[in-house]
Amino acid sequence: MWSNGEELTVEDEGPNDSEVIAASLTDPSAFGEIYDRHARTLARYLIRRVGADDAEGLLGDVFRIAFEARHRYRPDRVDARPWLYGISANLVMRHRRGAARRERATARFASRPSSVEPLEERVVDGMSASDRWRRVVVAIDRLPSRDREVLFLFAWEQLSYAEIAEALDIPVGTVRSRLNRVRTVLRELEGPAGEVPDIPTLGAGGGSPA
Amino acid sequence: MTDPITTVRSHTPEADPSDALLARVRSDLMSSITAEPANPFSAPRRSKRRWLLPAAAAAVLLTGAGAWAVARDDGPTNLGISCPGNRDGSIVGVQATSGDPVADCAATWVDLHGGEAPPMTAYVNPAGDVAVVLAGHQAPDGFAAMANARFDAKLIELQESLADIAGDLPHGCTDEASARSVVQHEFDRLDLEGWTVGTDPDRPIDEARPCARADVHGRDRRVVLRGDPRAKAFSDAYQQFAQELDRQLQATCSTLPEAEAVTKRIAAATDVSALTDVAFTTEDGFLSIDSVEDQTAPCARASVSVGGRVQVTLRGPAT
Repeated sequence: MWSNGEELTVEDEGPNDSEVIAASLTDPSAFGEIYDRHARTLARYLIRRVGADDAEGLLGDVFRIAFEARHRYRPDRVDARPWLYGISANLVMRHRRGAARRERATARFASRPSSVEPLEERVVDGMSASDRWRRVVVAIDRLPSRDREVLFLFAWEQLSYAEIAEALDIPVGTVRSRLNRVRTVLRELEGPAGEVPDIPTLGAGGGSPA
Repeated sequence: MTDPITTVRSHTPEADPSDALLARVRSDLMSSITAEPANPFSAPRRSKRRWLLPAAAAAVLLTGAGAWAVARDDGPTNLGISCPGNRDGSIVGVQATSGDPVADCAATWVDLHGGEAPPMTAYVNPAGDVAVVLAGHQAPDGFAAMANARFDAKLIELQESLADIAGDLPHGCTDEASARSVVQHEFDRLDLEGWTVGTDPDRPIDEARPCARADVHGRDRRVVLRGDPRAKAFSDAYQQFAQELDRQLQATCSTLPEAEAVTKRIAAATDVSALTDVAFTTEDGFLSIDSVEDQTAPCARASVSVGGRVQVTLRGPAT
C-alpha cells in the first residue's frame, strides 16, 4: 500500500518501475535498473531527434535528471517510460534551441552558414527527396516545438494520448488538439487527392552510433 | 484520405544504439549517482528537496536512523527532517530552512495540500535525527519530544550557501584549491570557529573525478570535498538566474518583501522553459520561495538550489 492508499499490482517477474524508483531513494544504485529497462528505447528516440553524435550525451543527461528528480516520481505510475520521454523531450527542445543559437553565433562570426541543422533538415538534404516530402519535413520543422514534440511522440515513438499527456504534463485534450493542429498544417501541403506521394525514407539520417 | 500523421509514422527513422554506447552511458551514470549521498536524511547539500516515502519505508528509516548523525549540545546537526506527508503515516524528507522543524514541516504540508497545516510535534532521537509527526500520533520508536530545540542557523546557512547554484560548487567543475577557498570564505563569513575542510579519500578530486562537490558534516564540524566525474547538466539558465538574483540583491540591500519581488521578477524573465515547459513562477509551483526573517542581517541574501523545482531561500530583515 502506497502513501495515497492505492494498492499497486505487483508483477510476478519483479518490482515495477515505481517500486524500483522508491527503492533508489535509499539505494541509489537501484536506479541502474531503470536505466537497463528504458535506455535503449530512449536512445532510439534521441538518435531520431538529434542524431547519433549528440544522443549519447543527452541520454546520460536524461537519466541523471531523472535520478535527481526521482523523489517527485508519482508512486501510482508503474511505468516510468512516459516520464522519461517527458524529460527527453524537454532536453531535445533545449538542444534544438542551443543548436540554433550556436548556428547564429557561428554564422555571425564566420559570415557563412553553419553546419548545425535540425535532424529533419539534415535528413532531407542527405537524400533526393521529392519536393512534396521536403515541404512536409520543412513544415514539421517549423511547427511550434510543443506541437512537434507531440507529433514525434505519437508518430515515431507510438505513445498513446494518455502517455504523451503524462510525458509532457498536459491534458489529454491538449494532446488531441495539438495533433489536430499538426494534421491541419500537413494536410494543407497535400495534393487534391489528399495523398503525399513518393515519400523517401526519413530514417536515412538517423544513423547509428559509433 | 491518408492521415498525414500516419505518413510520418511510416517513415520513422531507423535508430539502433550500440551496446557499447549504452554501456558507456550506464557507466558514467552509475559513477555519478552512486557518488550521491545514499540516505535522504544525510544529504545536506540538497537544500529543500523532498523525498516522499510510503509508510512502511518510513518506519524502517525512522527506526534505523541511528547511524546518520549525532546531536550536539547546540542542536541537531543532521539537517534532514522527517515530516508527515499525509495522514496515513507516509513521510516527506525536507531540509531544515527556518531552524524550527515544526515550522518547516507545516510549510511543506501547506505546499503539498494547501489550506492550513494541522498541529505537529517534533521529536529527536539520541543520534540527532529529527522527526515531526502529526499531533496526537505516536512518536517513532526511540524518539523523544524535542522541546524548544532548534537547528543551528549558521549550520543551515553554511549548507545553503555551499549548495547555492550561483556558484560552481554544486554543479560546475571547480578544482580542489578553488573549492577549499570557497568553503573557507564561508567559514569566515559565518564566523564558524573550529570548522575544517578535507577531502573524501574514497572519492578524491583527481583526473577521473575533476569536479569538486562539498558535503557538510555538522557532527564533525567539517566540510568534506569529493570528486565528481563531470559537471552536471542543465544548469546554465538556473545559474544565470541565481547570479542575477545575487547581483541585484547586493546592489539594492533589500528587505525580505523586496527580495521576494526581485526574485519573482528575475525568474519571470529567465528562460528555463526548455526544461520545465512551464512558466517559471511561484503560481505553477515550479518556483518556491522560503523567506526566513533575520533582523541581524543588514540586507537580504539568497541561496538557490534546483531539485525538481527552483528553491530560493531568502534570509534578511523584514523591514
